[in-house]
Amino acid sequence: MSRYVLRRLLLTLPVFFGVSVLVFLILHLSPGDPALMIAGADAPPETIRAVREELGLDRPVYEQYASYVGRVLHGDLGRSVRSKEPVSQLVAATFPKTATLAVAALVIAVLVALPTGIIAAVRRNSWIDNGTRLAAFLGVSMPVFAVGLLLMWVLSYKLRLLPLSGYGGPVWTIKGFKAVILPAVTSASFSIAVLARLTRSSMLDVIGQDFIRTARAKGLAERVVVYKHALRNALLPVITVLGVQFGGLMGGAVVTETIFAWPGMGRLALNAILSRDFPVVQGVVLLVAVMFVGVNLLVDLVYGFVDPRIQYD
Amino acid sequence: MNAMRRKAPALAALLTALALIVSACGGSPKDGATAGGTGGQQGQPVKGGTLTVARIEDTETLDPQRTTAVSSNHINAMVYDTLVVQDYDMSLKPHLAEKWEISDDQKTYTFHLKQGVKFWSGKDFKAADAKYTLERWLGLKGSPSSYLIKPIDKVEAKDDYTVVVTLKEPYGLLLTNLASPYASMLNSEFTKQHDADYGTKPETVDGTGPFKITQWSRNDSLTLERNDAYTWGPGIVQNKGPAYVDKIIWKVIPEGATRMAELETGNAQFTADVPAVDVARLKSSQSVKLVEYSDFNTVFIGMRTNKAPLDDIKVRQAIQQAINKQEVVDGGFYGLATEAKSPVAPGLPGAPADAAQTSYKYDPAKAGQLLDEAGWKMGANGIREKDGKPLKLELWYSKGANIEVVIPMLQAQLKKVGIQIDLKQLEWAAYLEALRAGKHELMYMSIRYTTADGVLYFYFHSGQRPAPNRFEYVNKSVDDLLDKARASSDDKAQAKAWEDVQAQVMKDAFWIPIVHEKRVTGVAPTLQGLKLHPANVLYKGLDLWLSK
Repeated sequence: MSRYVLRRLLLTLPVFFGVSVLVFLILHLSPGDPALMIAGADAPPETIRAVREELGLDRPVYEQYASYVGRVLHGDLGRSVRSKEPVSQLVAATFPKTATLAVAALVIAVLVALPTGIIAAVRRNSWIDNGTRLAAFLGVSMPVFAVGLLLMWVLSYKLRLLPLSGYGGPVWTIKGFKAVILPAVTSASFSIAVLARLTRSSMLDVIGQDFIRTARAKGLAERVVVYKHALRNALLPVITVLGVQFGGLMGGAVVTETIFAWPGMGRLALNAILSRDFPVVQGVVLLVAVMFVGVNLLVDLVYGFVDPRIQYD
Repeated sequence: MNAMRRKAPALAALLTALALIVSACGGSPKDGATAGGTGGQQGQPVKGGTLTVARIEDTETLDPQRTTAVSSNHINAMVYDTLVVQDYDMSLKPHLAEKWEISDDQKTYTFHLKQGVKFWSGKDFKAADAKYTLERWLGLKGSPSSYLIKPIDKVEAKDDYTVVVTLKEPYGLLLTNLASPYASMLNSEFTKQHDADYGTKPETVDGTGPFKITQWSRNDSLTLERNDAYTWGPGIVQNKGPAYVDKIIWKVIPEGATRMAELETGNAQFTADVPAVDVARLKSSQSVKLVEYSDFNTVFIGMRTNKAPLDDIKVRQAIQQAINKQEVVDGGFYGLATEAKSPVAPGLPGAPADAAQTSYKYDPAKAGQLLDEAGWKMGANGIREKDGKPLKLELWYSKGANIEVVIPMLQAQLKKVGIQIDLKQLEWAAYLEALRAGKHELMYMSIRYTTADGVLYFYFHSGQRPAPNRFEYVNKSVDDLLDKARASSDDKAQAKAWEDVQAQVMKDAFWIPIVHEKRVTGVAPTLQGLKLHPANVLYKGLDLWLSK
């Protein structure tokens, strides 16, 4: 097991290398000059030249990449070309807020999607099944901004139950908890729909199999059949998708963050892309890559706990 | 440059839908809009309270010499002071420099500093700080604004309260540029000590302004607290200090619907960023008052004069007369703009006294006639042709208020006279770079400025090619007039030179001033003492107070 983890960790190195090269190339090959964005659209050519020199953008791309990697290996992600603040500080300030939102959304998604998916499968074609199908279709097809604005409209603007926008502090404070509810539900809406449908179909697959009939034939209680025999076997694909969804949420829910003025990494990255703030974009992407790889590894390890037949060597 | 964000059309549609719901749910309509730059004033100012300002984007840095972003200027005006200030009518007034003398050869400026001015850290503001500030600005590598004071040769501190600035050549814009937020006075020792970190967090900022920065959480909020020692407000405000409000919190709320909802529910008291789609609905709102003001801006189309068929002045004149500006004002800007007749907006020194004389009137028949004369005959499909080639032009654009309505409208107007316009929208950063490469034919943009020089020299001096003179416009007499205006410190001669430049530019017909946008702010009924500054909306915030 530990050898497996070690091997997987080593395998991440090429991934990070690849990600860093790709991001670097995409940024440098895409149109838009950071010096122009800082100096202003109409600054005289010598000002733009001076800014470009100051940022080292006048050097060849491979040289810039080499010095970038060198600095990253020393733990230095550089400074934002816009605000001059160290990238590590910017990321450190936004990461916990994005993580709060992502974890809250995931918890909501699991708590809502798993039970509905299971009930829909067990009571197939009942009104509950049809109802969840309709809700899932809505959840998948409604754009996040529409869900967010509608929730905000009803719960914050009309009923004044929850704050409209902003980060309210750590989630264990009342203010912080109330502030995270709407953005988290909004972020979760798509995941809920996907996970509920997946849980349902996965459960149906398993329930149709021989060992379930055997279990029922043995006279086991329906609860035990469903939760002990069927669910454990049905969970594997759900966990995989859960991992992917969580990775996506950690990458920053830009739309949710924008609507709810949530100061997370998604908005940091978006603003940095629009203003061609290369060091910030690179820093965020690197961190998101780490998160994705980490979550995937975690998912693979969880498989083993859910299904003991899976062995690591 | 106007830094408004683009909105997804789908989002705009939903907002409109929501807006309709609100107006349906709203109470009895009443006229809440106030014209002019001043909000209502009720009773005597009271001290205390927290003013929350909702805005579209965060400040970049509080180092005034490293940014030209409007979002930074707003804060810098409150935390710093400048030697000179621009009044509400843009005329120059003294501030930290009580008075100044200009030598006969126009090359030496002697500033006498106000005494008793202190930084928050307690240090006295002296000539050494002013000298340091200007020298740092001049020499700061990568400063986007240092070219504004490039003609400075040297700065000397004659005594503690006298600064002497010597110029390489006469420069009529020195005082105006010293009034810009980029010229905010810094604490010499403190700034040196923090070096590259200066202005990146509250602990690394020191100023003499009426507010101190106490908290800054990026992309979230920035808190300013009253500087109780402040008593040296400029002559252009009523309250010389300290400020009335305890705190000003600047909250970043990028999404328009959310921003306005925060204002309507009383969580914020002011925003300078009211989405155009919300204006009609909010006119009848009880909870938000709309206050209009004018800054100096021009929305324009520029033509690349060296590209056929735009190298033919008749084609350019035809395009000028094919544009129906009034339709753009009413349909494109919902009335929140005025028809532009000259590059410089009325009210600013250098704006033509009678702009109608040199401007082009909407006259599609005349436009057609000019195109006929130029050899472009109407083709069977409604597009003109010459030598078998259709009259097709590309219009490049990126962002701007109501762009999704305005651009197709301009396209349709030109189609009417037989010109086919192909639209090309680029993301802002890509747009700027592509324009610099000079492959465009027509380009759409808007500009904000505080002096006529800020548009005229900027765009029309041949030394400004390839950008911002993106029109390949070279005219020796215009260059001479612009240079003359820059060197002149005789206001009348300067204004005359600027007027002459505009007459020539309009004659050469490559630049179409379309509209001057009006700005709309949203104000809570509790916010009093509001007087909006054309260059910096809330300005120093000294007169603002909150009624219960």
